[in-house]
Amino acid sequence: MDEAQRKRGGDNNKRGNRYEDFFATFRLMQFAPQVMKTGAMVRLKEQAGCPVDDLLLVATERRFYHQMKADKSITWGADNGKMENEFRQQMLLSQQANESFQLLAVVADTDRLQSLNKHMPADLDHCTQVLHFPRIQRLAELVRHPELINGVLREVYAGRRESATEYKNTVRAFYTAWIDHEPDDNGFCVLNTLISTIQSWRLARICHAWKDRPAEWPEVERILNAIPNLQWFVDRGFFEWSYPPTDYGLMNEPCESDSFKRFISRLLKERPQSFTQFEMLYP
Amino acid sequence: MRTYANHITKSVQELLDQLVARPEPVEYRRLMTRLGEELAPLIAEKLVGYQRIMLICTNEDADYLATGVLQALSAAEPFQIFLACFWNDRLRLDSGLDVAPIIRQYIEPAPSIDAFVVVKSIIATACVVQTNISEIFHQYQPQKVVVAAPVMMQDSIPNLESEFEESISKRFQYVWFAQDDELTANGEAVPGIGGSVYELLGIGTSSTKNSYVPAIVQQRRAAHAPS
Repeated sequence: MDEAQRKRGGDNNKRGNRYEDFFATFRLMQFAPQVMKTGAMVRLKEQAGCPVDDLLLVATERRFYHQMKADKSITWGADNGKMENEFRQQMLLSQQANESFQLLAVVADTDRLQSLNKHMPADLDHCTQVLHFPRIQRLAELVRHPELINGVLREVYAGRRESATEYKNTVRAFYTAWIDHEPDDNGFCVLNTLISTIQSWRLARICHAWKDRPAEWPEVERILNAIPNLQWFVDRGFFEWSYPPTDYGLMNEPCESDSFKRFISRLLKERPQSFTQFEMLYP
Repeated sequence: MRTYANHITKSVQELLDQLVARPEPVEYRRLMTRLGEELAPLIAEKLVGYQRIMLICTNEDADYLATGVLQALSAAEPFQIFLACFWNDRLRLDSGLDVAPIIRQYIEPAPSIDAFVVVKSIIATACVVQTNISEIFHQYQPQKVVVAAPVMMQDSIPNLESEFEESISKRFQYVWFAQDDELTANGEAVPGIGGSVYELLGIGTSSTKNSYVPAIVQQRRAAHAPS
């Protein structure tokens, strides 16, 4: 493998497979489409130093305070009402700060989900949600989380087609970037920076808008449109094409890359008129 | 150190030795094709009772190893064989995280598939094989997956299976002639197949090999081309 292809990245074994890291990855991915579409600032911090502090997620309009409870016997009242008291303290602090907020108890067991929901203290009910996030052993299991597979990954991954491997690479990229992130001055992981890091690693093909199109692009469009049966797209930031029913491609480097610029130059020079001529110029 | 499979013949061992000697591309291509032909009967033994087969390979293996397998399998048994060819890039992080993103694929339409046959000139980390199986496994749900390579690294099988749930990995069976236990810093098995298969086949380097369009893909595509 070329040295140039070796990329810096997180040491996945450094921390082992922590439930908290899988959950943080999940939350970051949930908010990724919003960041990608609007540029909204989303930040995440572990052990935030507040009453409900396992994970604090600060989005544009709301703060989410998470307490992780992988313990199979956790109740609101256990340990002299520790959990209930912490949630109540957080609620009061957030109300005093006049912030929009939500408190989340994250549990690994469905039994705990039911129990904590059933016995939710009445005064916490309006601002608290119990969330089930299962214990997983491998990132591949996270890919199959219904919320990710049914929506988020379709928005985050640059390809139009569902891709088991690319979905996995995308989740792995977020996980690796989370493990490896450099906190900002306040100790937060900034999702916007994290996405930029993933894009620079090329570990996953992240959907984005290709803004600065070269002057010769209209001519390239004419060339591509004239190739019989070739379908192509660049609206998700990567050159994607298909030649039904057998062939499909998604370039590994984005439309802003030198690699794509060289591809454009080859198209302009060779002016392919058939798929056979086109495929010899790709990638 | 190299370990040979129990069933290996002297002629196959000679083919492997000739690969390691790094002959000119024309001869190297012939050797790979011959090794494919030698793998085919062993693969066929594992496909008894199955008819619709998807032969999965990478673009660098398609015209030689995979063609050898395809022709010998087709000649020996009444299989209905569909070809799936992948063009994989390779990226490795300093942490050892290894990915093989697919930048292009050619897959012949099949209403259903009984078994996958995955052929690869060498399986070292199993990253490419794992990627390509994963990409289409759930679409076709094959009952069996035969992974075949002239040379594999000793730990490649557990590496590969660790990426799948047991309900999937228990469908895997393997055909190989030799196993090595030493990797270079570049991730190449020693003695392996003599070095970088792209360069030895004469189809480019690891960074340019994806421009190569196999002749077998071009020929077979014609049968599916839109009228």
